[in-house]
Amino acid sequence: MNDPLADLVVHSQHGDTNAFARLVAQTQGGVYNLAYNVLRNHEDAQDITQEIYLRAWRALPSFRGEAKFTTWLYRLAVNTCLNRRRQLRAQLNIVDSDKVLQRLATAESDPMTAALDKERAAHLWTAVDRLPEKYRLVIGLFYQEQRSYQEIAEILSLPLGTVKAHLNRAREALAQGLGRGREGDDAFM
Amino acid sequence: MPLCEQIRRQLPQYVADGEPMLAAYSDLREHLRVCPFCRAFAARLRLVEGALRAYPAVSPAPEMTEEIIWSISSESQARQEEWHLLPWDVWVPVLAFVLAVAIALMSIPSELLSATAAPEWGTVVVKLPSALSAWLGSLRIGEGQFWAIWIGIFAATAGLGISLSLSNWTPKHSQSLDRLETRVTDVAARLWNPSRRAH
Repeated sequence: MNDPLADLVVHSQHGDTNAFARLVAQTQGGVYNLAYNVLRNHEDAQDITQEIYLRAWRALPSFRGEAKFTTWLYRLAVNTCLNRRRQLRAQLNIVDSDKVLQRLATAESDPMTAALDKERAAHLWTAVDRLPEKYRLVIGLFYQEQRSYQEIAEILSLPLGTVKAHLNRAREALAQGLGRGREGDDAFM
Repeated sequence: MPLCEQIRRQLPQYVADGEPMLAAYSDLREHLRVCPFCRAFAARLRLVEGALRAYPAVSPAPEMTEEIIWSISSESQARQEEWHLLPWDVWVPVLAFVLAVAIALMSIPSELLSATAAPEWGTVVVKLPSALSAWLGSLRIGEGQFWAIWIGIFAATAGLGISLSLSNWTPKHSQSLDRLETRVTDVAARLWNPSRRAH
């Protein structure tokens, strides 16, 4: 597999911390963003990112290069973040399910009165924050990290069709939330 | 399923794919031409798509790489120290056990090593110094008995040490063993399959 990080990975596997530092520098943005998409808190995202890289360092000797390094790392990151999320949920009794998506789609959200695209986008990004984590994850990986459907499927250990379905459901819910009270209004096309 | 509902299910993917002019979407395009509600929904999906493509990623603090590498270096150093300075309750019994086994092996009667001669117990491969032999003789202790006592002392020490180690066993010891097992497995896998050495 042609992985641009392959050399750094091999050096890191032999205990080269400088090579690993370069790997961290090149991938930490994506890992941190993914952690933030799950945990929605900068402090937690920072802590978990450190933990993810520590785990990656320990597990690196077992990495065989069967997938791209980033796919392997993101899979590790997703599992670590979801575990942390489960712990937090158990502590805080957070409700997070498809019902949230349903509520988002049917809620009387604020109408978009602003004409500027920037403001519309900001409204939408806020709406993304209210999506359940499984949808936030695929949106983050697809739009922010520019991962392919196949890569996302590998990272999240989901069938390809489910990844597409998650994305489409999220898009649909966001569009419905956006258009609440504007049915038939073509003015902002 | 009503046509509008069917179309709305296809629309998110159609818009996300850049509204391709494929024949498969001809019915959808025709429906959009005549249905203002679905057209409005498609317009909102375009806005969603545009906003998502510009969805900004959050960035970690600039010092994060340094912090990560610092914690990894600390852990690596701690691990090295752990291996250099094995606790006495591990290495003492292991050493005693190894010595006991070594002495037991050296105490095999030399005749046993020869297929032709009949075994004669008490004769050892390693000869004792003459002064020690003389002293043992004055005590009426044969060399065979001496070695039996010697092995017994080592075996008892090893047994006592291993019991102490097991009674002081902590998760940290288990982690050390797990790490050792991972390393050994990894080295064995690399030796077993040379084509994977590069990874």
